[in-house]
Amino acid sequence: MLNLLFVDILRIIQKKMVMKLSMIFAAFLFLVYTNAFSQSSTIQGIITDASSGQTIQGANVLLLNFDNRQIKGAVTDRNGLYRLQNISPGEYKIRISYVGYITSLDTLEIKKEETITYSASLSVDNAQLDELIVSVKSEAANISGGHQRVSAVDLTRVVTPAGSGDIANYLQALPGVVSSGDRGGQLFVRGGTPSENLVLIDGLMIYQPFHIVGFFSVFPENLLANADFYAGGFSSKYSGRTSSVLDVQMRDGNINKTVGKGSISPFLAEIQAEGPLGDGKNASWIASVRSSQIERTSEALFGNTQPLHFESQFLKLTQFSDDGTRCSAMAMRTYDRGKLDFDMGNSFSWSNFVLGGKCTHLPKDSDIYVDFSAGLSHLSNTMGGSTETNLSSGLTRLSLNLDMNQSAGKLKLNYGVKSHMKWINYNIEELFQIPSSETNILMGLGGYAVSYIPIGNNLTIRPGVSLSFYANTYSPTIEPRFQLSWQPYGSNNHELNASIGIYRQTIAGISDLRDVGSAFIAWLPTPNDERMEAIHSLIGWKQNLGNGLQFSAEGYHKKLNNIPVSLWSTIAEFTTEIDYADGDIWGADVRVEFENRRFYTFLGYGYSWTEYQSAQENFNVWFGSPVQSYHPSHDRRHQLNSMISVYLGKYTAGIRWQFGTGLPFTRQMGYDGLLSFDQGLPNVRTNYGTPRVILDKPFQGRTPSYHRLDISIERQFEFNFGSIFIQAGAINTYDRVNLFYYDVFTQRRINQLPFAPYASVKMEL
Amino acid sequence: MKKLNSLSSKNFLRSLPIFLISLLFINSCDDTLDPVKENDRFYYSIFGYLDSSEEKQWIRIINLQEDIDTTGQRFDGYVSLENLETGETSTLKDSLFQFSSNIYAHNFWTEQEIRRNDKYRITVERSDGAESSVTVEIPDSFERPEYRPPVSPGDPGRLIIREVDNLADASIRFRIKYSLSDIIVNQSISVISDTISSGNDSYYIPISTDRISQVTKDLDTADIIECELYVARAGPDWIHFSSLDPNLIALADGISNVENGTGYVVGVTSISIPYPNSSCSD
Repeated sequence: MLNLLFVDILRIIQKKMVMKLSMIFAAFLFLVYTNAFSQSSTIQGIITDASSGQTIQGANVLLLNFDNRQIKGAVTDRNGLYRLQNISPGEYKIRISYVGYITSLDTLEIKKEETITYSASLSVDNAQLDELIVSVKSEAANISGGHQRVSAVDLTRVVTPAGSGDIANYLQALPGVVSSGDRGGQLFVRGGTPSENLVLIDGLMIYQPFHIVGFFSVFPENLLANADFYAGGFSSKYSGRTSSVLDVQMRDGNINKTVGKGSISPFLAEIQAEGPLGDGKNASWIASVRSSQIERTSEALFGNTQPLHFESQFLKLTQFSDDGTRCSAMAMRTYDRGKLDFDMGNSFSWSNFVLGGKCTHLPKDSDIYVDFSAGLSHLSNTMGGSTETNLSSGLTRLSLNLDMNQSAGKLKLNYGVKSHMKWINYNIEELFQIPSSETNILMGLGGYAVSYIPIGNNLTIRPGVSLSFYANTYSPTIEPRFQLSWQPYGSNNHELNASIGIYRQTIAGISDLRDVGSAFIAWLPTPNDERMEAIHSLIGWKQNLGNGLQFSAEGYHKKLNNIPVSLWSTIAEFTTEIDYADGDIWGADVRVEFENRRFYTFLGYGYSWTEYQSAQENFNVWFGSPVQSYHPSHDRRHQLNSMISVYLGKYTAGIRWQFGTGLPFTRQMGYDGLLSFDQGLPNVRTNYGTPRVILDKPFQGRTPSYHRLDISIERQFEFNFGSIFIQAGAINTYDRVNLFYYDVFTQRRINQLPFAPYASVKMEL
Repeated sequence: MKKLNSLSSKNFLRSLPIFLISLLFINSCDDTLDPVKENDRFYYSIFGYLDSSEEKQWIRIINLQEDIDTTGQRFDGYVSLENLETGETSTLKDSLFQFSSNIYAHNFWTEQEIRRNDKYRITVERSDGAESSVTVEIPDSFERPEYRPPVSPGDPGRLIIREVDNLADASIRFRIKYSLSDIIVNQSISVISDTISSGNDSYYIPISTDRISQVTKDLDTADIIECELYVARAGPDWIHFSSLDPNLIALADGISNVENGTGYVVGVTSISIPYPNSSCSD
């Protein structure tokens, strides 16, 4: 009772704080903005890789006077963009550096009230090339207010049974990220469900990017430029989801020469090629084709065929011009199919198609950076395909987005408008059930604004607001959010981050949560014009302990409202009848990371407590109370992840060990066939009835704990034509019997992968 | 601060190997799963009906706390039927039925007389003494139903039912005899959903004389024999299923009248009258 009271009080405080802060933000913005126009100049530009044309995130840009004293400094963002503001007129040196690249040095003359666009391309320093991978700073413990940057190098640190790393495997090594297992493609982030995650590929939504084999996604190491992962507390720039954001930028092709790479392992085969388009060295292409191999190799590896298959095709064209315009067009197609229970059970399949374009522009005499994107995102997914069960669901979305990035003195402002149209449909046909189907069309318009306001030298606040409108359905919504960063000692070696905000979404993904082993999601608009809502609060501390040691700790709370959940039933049928639940999620992550030239290690612990409360009429008859509180099937209470990489010349060794406590499941009290009397007296000699499970209260049981050790060793060989990497390793090295899920309707226990040795060969030309 | 940081790094590195080795011992953690909750609420599932007009009674009984029967397992339990008015008791005999390639169920039968207006209790007792039971009351008889032929050609006739407060069943029952194999199969067509109330516990049901032939017209090598119209009246514990939420019906405690178990058993009295078409089908 006291706990509920505390939660209610916290919710009221959270909402009041958020509303007050948004009013303060508006007033502050006005004051700061009007004061910001002093007589100062700005230098801005985009930093790219000279050989590939790829923008470089994290490059250091320093403005120095001729005594080499630093005047201003900035770091490029994910678009390679930097800005140095409030510069007095004069002559300066500008130095641009990034690990593994030759430092660029130039002189600039700045006049009064001038905006200068100075972009540069950095060349790779071949002397450092071999050490580039180990020198790139890892970000696993560098978490700020739920936000973590992910680079391609990070993905190499997690043992993956293929020629290269993958973001799916990497994310599952982070505290607070729970997967349904080594198959299924479902990720639960800090208590949220998969349909509450927003995943973007070059600014366009992709609905189900994680493959049916859990190590893989559409974001392999070779295609990743950079990614931002927000486990919560994300800014107003991202809207429409209540749990997390994964914003991925894919690599551009090499503008100088045509190169290729390919790899093969028992799990996956992939080919990738890229090169210049035309002669002008201002356009490129990159293409990738990947196909799983486990269906072919599993008989030899495991003694039984695992009916799991995925494939993807990707193509991106990029062009940039001297006037600061950069445009790209991209297409991605994926297909997954398989059975989670290899011997029985339903088949699942899903397919994504994403097509779109993006243009960015940094005008020479303006301080507004413009980012425009448009595209199509489509998902279709099915379950069954037999005469007994045939479920299908689909989503199609057309979107147009315009984002602006502007500075005014010390103040930075991000704002934008978005519009989209969505078609959502499902079709449910099950034996003994009346078929049902529904199609919905939603048209939405939205906008956002986020401001970066430094206060003194140690504090930055980032208030923001997101607005959305829907034609003919949901009422308009305003979602205020607030973030702050405080560096008490004036450097980012010690930083406190906090954020609070309201998040809402209008579509729900309904899956059968009575058991975890379902990969089918029926998409529908949240009914009754009620949006799902979450209020995020988090606070964290990160500290660089020196000598390569980094530490961070973060605590969070999410208050959830109007979560659609399946109507509780004892019948083994998929239902789109839904009811609502409210929820609370409490958690904390602690991360420690150490790296030097030869050695890298990461240790992460996550604690999470998730509880839903749902009021359903059936509960009253069943349990004597209409309201039931339960911990849903993704509530993994404790998680421990560790990774070690050792670099010894041409050899790289990797170890990963992960541990998680058991997941809730609903225990059964009995099983029979339900005979119906509504069409007359049943004939027990000819009719078995509808299979029925007598269920205990929801999710009162816990599955056994889960742990797994993966190891790998890789050797690089250099030849005139390129490089060959040979890797050998094992997944689940000590052959732990880990439960994947328990099917309460068939009383079958389905386990995850047993000991799985593998070898892979990768060639780079 | 520098010294502290340096010490922190060294301590961290030193403790790593010990930590990693100790993790390997965690492999001995239990990986068993116990999905069934032992309980004293649900021992057996009991479904069926007792018909005072039938010579043989069939009841479906499933042991809820055992795994799904996919191989035809032996039944752990003793089933008895007791007339609570007279004390007459019989032991029901077990008969294993297979419903698909991997689903079996036990149906129990008895030829004990079922008397109108008496109460009966079915008791299932497990070898360890756990017990489920259900008590039903057999209703009195009712006015014999009447079939009225159609007034105009092409119109259906009417089955007239009177004095039935709880209409449990109205159906066309017949048997199909396959000529080539001499196998005889019992069939029925439910017509209860076509019932129209005419007030005061009275109903009529439109039934055309070719109703059987509508469903059997494709059976070339079979004869339809022994057709009749069947009407059953249920006792006072009858539940009007058609008006209930299916989710409620599906709940173990939703509509069950079984003690320490789940399911539904009802007492009925039935009357059969000849099918209006003497040849059963045209």
